[in-house]
Amino acid sequence: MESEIGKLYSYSGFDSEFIKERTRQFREQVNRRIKGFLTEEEFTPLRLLNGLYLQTHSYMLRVAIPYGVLNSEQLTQLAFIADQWDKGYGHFTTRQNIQFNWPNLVDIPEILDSLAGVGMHAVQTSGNTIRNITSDPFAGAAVDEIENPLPYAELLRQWSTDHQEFQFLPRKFKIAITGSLNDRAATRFHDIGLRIMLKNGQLGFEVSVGGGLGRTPVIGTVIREFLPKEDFLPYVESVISVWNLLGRRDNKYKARIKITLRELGSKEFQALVEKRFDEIRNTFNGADSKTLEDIKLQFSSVQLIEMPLGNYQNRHKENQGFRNWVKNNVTEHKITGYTIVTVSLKTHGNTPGDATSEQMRMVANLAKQYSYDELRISKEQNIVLPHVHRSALFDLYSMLLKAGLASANVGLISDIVACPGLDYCKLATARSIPLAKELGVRFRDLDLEQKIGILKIKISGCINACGHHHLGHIGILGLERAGKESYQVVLGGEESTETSNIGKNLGPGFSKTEIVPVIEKLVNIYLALRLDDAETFLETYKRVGITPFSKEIYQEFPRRKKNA
Amino acid sequence: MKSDEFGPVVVSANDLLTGNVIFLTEKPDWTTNIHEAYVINDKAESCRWLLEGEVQQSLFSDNLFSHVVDPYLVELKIDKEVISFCAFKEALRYYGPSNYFHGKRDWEIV
Amino acid sequence: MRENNCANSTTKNKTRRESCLIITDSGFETEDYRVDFIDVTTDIVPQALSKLRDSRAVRINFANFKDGRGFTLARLFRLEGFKGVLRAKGDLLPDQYSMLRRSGFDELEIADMVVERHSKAAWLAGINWHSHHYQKRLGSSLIREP
Ligand code: HEM
Ligand code: SF4
Repeated sequence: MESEIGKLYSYSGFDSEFIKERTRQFREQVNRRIKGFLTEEEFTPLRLLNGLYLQTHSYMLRVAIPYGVLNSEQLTQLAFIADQWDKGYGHFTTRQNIQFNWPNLVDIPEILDSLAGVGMHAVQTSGNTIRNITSDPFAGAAVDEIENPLPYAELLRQWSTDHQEFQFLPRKFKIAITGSLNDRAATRFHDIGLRIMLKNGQLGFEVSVGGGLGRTPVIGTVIREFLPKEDFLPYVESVISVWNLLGRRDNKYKARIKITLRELGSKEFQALVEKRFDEIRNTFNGADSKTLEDIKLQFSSVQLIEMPLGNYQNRHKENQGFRNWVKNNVTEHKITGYTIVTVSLKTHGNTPGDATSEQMRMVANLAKQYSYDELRISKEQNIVLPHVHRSALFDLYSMLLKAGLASANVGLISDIVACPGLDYCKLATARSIPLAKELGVRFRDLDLEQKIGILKIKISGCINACGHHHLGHIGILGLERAGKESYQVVLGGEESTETSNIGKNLGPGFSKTEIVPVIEKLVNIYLALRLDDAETFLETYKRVGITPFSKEIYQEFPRRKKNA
Repeated sequence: MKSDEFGPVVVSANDLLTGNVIFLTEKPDWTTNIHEAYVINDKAESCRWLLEGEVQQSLFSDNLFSHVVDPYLVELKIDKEVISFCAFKEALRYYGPSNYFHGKRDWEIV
Repeated sequence: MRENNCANSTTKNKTRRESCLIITDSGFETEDYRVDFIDVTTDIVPQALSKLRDSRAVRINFANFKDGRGFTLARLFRLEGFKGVLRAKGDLLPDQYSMLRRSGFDELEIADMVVERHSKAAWLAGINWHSHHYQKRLGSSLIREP
C-alpha cells in the first residue's frame, strides 16, 4: 500500500522575483491611473489582470488560490488581509479563489505585497486571459486517482502567467484539470478540460474544449481522446492560439471558445488545432518537461505516519453529531487510516463560502496540526483538509464545533453554492446570498436535511451563472422583473464523470417571497415520490421527469398567464 | 424612460479611490449622500449633467485629476421629500449589502 | 460602460494623428523611412500573412489596445521564418511593449500624443522585457527546434 502524499509546491526564486516585479508594475499602474495618465478604459483591463474589480459599493480583489491548494501560513495571511484591509472576512468562490469585498484602490499594491510574502498573488484571476487553473480538491489524496494532477496544474500556472500572446484574448479562458476517475473539477464545463488517462501503460490527457456555463451552457467536446503527457503545453497553447485569432471580438456574448466551436464546427476547429500543434510543437525545446520534473520533485513525497485508531470507534458509536459529521463530511483517503475532511462553510443561516478571519486562523491551525499543513478550497465553496488520520477526527470535530464550523451538511440541501449576487456584484439582477441563508435556516428548522440526503442547490444572481445554477439538482437563477427580484428554477442539473446534464427550466419564475416556499414544496414533492430513503432527489427526478414537479408547483403557485 | 414623463433622476458614479457610490451635486461636486445630490427633472438637463459627470471622469492634468468612474443616471421616486429608488438594484447599491450590517450605510430597506 | 440614451454624451475624442514615434529597445525614435512597410491588419488570416514571409518589413495594425490578435500573428509569422522588421502600429499601452517584443515584434509605431499622454517614463519602464519571462523559461521560443 502506498503511504506517501505530495508536499506542496513552494515558490522558486524565479516565482518570487516575478511576483515582486509584477506588484511593482501594478503599483505604478495605480499611480498612473490616479494621476490621470491612464483612462478608466485603459486601466480596467490592467487592473482586471491583477484581480481587481470595481463592484457596486467598492473594489473587490480576487486572490488566486492556484488549483485550490494552500498551506496554513497562507491561510493565516489571508486572515491578516481580511482584518487589515477588509471587514474581517473573505469569500471563497466556486473557482477556488478568495474574494475581498472592501479594499480601497491605493491599498491594493500593499495587499499584493503581503500576498507575495507567502507565495501568493492575484494575477489573472480576472480579465480576458487564462484564468486561475482549477483542479480536484481531493488531488493527491483521492482513492480513485490515476495520477496527481497538481504538478501539471502548477506547470500550467507558470506557463499561462503573463503569457505574451494571451493577455488580451477575446474573452476569459478557464482551464480545469483532474487526475481521478471521478471528475471533481467539472472539467467538461471549462474552456479546456483535461483529464488524466492511462492508455497502454502511458500517461496522457483527454482534452475537451468549449464547455462553460453563462448564458449559453455547453458541455465540452472532446477534441483529443489521448494526448501524450509530453505534448501537454504545446497542445493547450495551440487551442488558445487558434481561438485567439478566430474568437469573436465584436460581441462579448459570442466571444467564448464555445461559440467559436459552434460557429466553426468542432471537426474544423479540431483540424486547425492539430495543424497549429504541428507548427508549434517543436518550438518547445523540452525545458517544459524538465520544469515539470522539478515541480514534481517539489511536490515530492511526505511519508504519512501509521497510527492506531485510538478512541475513534468509541466516539463514533457514542456521539450522534460526530457520526453525522463523519458520514457527510469525511471521505476515504488513498492511504488506509487516513481521511479527507471537508470543513463546511455553509453553517445554516450564514453566507455560503464566507469565512471570518478568526475561522481562517482556526482552520489554518487545524491543518497544521492534523493535515500535514495542507488545505484545499473546493468548488462547492468549502475548505478541505486532505490528509487527516482517523484517530484525530474526533479532536478535529470538537475544535470545529467550537469555531462554529462543524456543520455536518456536505452534499446536503444546506450545502448551497451561491455567487455574490446583487449584494456585491455589479452585473447582478437579483440577490443570491439571502436566499441561501433563508433556505439554510428553513431546512435546519424543519430538521429534514439528513432525511432528504444528497441534494445540491446552486444559486446565481444573474444569467452569467457564477453560482453554477445549471448544474444544481435544484438550480435557482435570480432575474429582474420590473425593478424587482424574480427567481427561475431549474431542475436536474449535474456534473459527474459519466453524466453531465444542464438543468431544465421548471417554468415561469417566482417572487422573492415565494421562492423559499417553492423550494420547500419541491422537496416535499420529492419526499412523497421517492421509492425509498436511498433514492436521491436526482434519481427521483430522473425517474419521474419534470412534470410531476411542475404540475404540483404551479397548482400551488399559479402564475398569471402574462407571466409565462 | 418615456420622454414626456421624465425624472426625477440623479447622476451617480463610483469614486475611483474608494469605490464608494457617489452622486453629482449642483455645485458641481460629488457627495456620498443622496440628499445632497442634484435632482434633475428634465431630459435635456439630465443629458447636460451626465455630460458634466463624464467630463469630470476624463479630466487629465497632473493636479486636476478626476476621481469619478462610470457616471450614469439613476431614477428616483420622490414623495413629499422622501427619496427612494425606482429600481431595487439601485437601492441596494446605495444602502449596501443585505447579508451583513456593514455596508457603507446601514441596511435600511427591505 | 453603462448605456445611456443621451446622444453625444461621450467625451472621448479620438486623438488626431499628426506625428508618430517609433519605440524600440533603445527608446524613442522618429521615423527614418529606412524601409517600406507592407501594412496588414489583425484580421488577416495566418496563411495570407505567411505569404509575406520573404518581405523586408511588415507592419501589423492593431485595431485598439484590447486587440490581442497581433501577438499571436507575430508569433506565427516568426515561426514561418520571417526575418525582416516587424512593426506594430496602434494605440497600445506602455504595459504592452514587453508582450510585443516577446511575441516577435521589433518595434511599435504610435502617435506621439499618445506617448506623451502616458508619460515617457512609463514607456521606458516597459523596455525591460527580457527578465521574469516564464514562457522562455519553459522553453517556448520563437524558433522551431530542428
Ligand atoms: C463578483 C464579481 C463577478 C463578476 C463580475 C463575474 C462575471 C462573470 C461573467 C460575466 C460570467 C459569464 C462569462 C461568459 O459567459 O462569457 C461569469 C461566469 C462565471 N463565473 Fe463569475 N463573476 C463574478 C464572481 C464570480 C464568483 C464569486 C465566482 C465563484 C463563486 C465566479 C465563477 C464563475 C463561473 C464558475 C462562471 C461560469 C463558467 C464559465 O462559463 O466561465 N464568478 N462570471
Ligand atoms: S452570476 Fe451574475 S450576479 Fe452572480 S457573481 Fe456572476 S455576474 Fe455576478
